[in-house]
Amino acid sequence: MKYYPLLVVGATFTGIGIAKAAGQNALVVDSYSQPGHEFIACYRPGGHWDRSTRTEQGERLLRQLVQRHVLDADGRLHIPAVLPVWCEFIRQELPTPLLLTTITDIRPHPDGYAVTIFNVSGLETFIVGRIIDTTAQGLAHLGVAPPAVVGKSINAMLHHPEPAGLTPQSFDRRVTFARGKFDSEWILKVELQPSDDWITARRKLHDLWSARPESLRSWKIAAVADTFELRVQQGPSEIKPNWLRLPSGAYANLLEAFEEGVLFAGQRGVEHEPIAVDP
Amino acid sequence: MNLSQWIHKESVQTKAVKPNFERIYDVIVVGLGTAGAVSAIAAGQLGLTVLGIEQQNSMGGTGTNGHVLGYYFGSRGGLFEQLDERAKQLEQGVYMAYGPNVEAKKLALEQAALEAGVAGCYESVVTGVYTDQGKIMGLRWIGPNGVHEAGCRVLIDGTGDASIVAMAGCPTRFGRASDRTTHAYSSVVSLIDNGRLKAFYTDSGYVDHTDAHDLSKELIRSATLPTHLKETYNGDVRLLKVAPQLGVREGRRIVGEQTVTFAQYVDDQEADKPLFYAYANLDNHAKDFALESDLQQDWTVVSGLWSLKMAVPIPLGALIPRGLDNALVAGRSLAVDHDIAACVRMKRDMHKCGEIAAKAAYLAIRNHTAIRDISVDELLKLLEPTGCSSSEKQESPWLTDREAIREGLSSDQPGIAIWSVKRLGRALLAELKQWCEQRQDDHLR
Repeated sequence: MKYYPLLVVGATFTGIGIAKAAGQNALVVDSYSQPGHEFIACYRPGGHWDRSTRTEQGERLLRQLVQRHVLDADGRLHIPAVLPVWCEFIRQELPTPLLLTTITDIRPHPDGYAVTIFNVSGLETFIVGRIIDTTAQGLAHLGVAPPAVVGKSINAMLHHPEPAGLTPQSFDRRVTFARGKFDSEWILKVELQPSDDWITARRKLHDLWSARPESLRSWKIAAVADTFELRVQQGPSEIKPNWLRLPSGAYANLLEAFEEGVLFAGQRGVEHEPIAVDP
Repeated sequence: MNLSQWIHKESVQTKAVKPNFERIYDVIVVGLGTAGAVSAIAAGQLGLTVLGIEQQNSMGGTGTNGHVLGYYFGSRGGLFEQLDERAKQLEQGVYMAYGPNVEAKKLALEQAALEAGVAGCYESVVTGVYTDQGKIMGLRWIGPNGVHEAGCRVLIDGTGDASIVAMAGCPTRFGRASDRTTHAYSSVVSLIDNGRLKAFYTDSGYVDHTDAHDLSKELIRSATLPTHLKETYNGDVRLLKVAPQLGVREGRRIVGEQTVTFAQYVDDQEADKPLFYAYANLDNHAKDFALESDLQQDWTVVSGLWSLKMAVPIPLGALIPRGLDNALVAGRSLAVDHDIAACVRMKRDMHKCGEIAAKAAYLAIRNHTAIRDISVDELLKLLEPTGCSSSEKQESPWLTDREAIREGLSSDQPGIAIWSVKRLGRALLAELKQWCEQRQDDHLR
């Protein structure tokens, strides 16, 4: 049976940061199809971009974002374009994370935990020494209490045919707007209840935008985020021995989330090469 | 009863202890994509109890999550046209228009499913299939709330990859004969270009999407193609998203009660009582035709017939996995060969398959029969109200008159004539030699 010193749950910015520092010792798995979904796929540009970088890896990522005009000097981020940049960054620097992969079972093992995953290749069980869960959803389906949700929203990209100088104004306490990099790039955020599912969320978004005031009629939804924006309580916290939680979505922006992962792994250290364990 | 699971790319059966079915549904549809979404809605509208299980967080599959928005050929008619009309209504004044908008379509499908009483599980994956004596008895799946099990009278596999029937141990086929490669896939980007919503895609590469490592690698690599990763980004062509689902053109295909092949089509072998005619060209996105079949090379390369539209008859047997009494596939995993899969995969036709699967399931449940034993005539009647069935056979494009063939061969578009000659075999040998030897007509020579 395969052994990995470290299982990183979530191809999040923090998760990839940890894996980057851990090198070949880490296996990253994610149930979603794209890395960094806690910021990119949910349309969360984040804030506090004024801080300077703290790691060499973070500096490289920041440089890419700036050079490609994804991030400007005012901290305005063209969030959809982060995905290609982020994927290129992962390709250059890391083993491929296993995407569209669900963890179906975790149980104690003398060497750590026996973890079973399911994906298009089927079920597979391996042993891991440690687990770091960087997702905001956690592993509730395995009976593990998820992190406390501070806020949840469904976000959408808006479009206005003549956006110059226009700023959409909120008309409902559940509605806020975030500015992207371009004049026309405004993100509508509809606050949800933590228990709201996708059907409820889509209906709320649709109903609210259908009933928007006349002044906003020219703003239309161009695209809706594919994941929820989930703001959760910051880690690290221990779930079980050698099983930690460090949610990426707890940080102010994706760069901070990435660097926290790099720094966290650097502090804790993951030193062992993969070794075989008798079945 | 056996529990079948997919382990290291193989179906593994074990004797099952008593399953823990929370409920028995008339129909469980796995995969609420292009075909499965329509299956679930159609089955619910017929009064069946329906459970839909979907890995993503919405319905519609390639046409929504994959951002393949418009239609490319396929036959008109069917429940999907009503659903599209509903999506267009929802789109108005709220979403940017694009025939119809992805988000409006997701909403329309969900609304229709809820109205039809469909119970849905998003973000859920099936990890086990209970089988007994050639029947699928139920499923085990894991979703946001943990592991669940439910029974079914009929299973509709709308995964597009026959994932559930393969898990159950049914034989399947994958890719072309030479190297198991499937048709190229596309990674679609959604963007606003000059004030208009657009979906842009080209062939992004090849992927074995039944291999987790290859799929993950391509999900990441395709996002870095020059069409996605720009030197610099600007607001003139504003990127909205890279679609979270790859546009996979060819899935795992079942070995069915009947198999539709390209050879049958070119040999005019008409299936008995086809339910509809899939309609498109042989839209193979291959860049390496030398590795495709001889027949496809003759068609596409020698005759240049890539763009010729074909109406391919689809019988019920192509939806029935061999060896199972109560299962159907809906979508691109039909029992077709690799060659014709390039034609029998368009969204309209896959929507139709979804509706047909639901209505076939209805008849089997009502009449307590195996799917293969339902009356096709009765099924055709059930398909009539929405216009899903079609019986118009395509007029044969092939030439038999020697002068017409000569004229065709000497024209700028000789494909039909070339293929017509191939069909006639040695009967035209003397004329062909004569035409080759003449000096007046360069094209003909």
